[in-house]
Amino acid sequence: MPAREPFDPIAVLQALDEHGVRFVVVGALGRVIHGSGEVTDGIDVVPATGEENLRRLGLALDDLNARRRDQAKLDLEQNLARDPVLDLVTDAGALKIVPEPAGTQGYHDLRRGAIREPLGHGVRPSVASLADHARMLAAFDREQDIETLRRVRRLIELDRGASAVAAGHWNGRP
Amino acid sequence: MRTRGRCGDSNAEEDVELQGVLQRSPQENLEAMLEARDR
Repeated sequence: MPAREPFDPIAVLQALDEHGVRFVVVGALGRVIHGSGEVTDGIDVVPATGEENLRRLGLALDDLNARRRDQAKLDLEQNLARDPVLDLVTDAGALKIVPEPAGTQGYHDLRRGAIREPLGHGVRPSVASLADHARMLAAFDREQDIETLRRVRRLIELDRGASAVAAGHWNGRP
Repeated sequence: MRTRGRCGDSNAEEDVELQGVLQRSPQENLEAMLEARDR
């Protein structure tokens, strides 16, 4: 069995933070942070696509020794203009840059519902909401995501129920 | 009918599990995944 690639999501997030990159965590790692129970080997982020933010992202990628998985030349601005997903390998594990995930309009759309989640080591990334994760999974419309989508939707329902109880509005019905 | 009963049980079991998940912190969720990945 081939050895698993290293994966240190905290190191990736720290590198992005150190350069002040504006981004939202999405994908499997975002769902994991919400408690989906999946296992993943990589991190997917949606960056703000303004010129200055992409410059900062480029510096963070340099620190992480990022290179394209397909070994083509990494040119952030050009690649992001052409590819819907930039699939990178870094010294801290797999990193996908996704400017506009399916079903969304990118960073500014996802940032509205995102919450800064404390993950330890002083890292508090913005993570897309469970509702936005469900929206993205539904838009992918992939058979492999059906079970994950069902579980995410159930988490949303249970979370709403718990919030209603906390607010004193729960009527006991699901 | 038995099938429906089992399905109901399994949904209830999952809800108990997910209620537990909702009590965990994001950091705990991340650490649990990394531990599972290393196993």
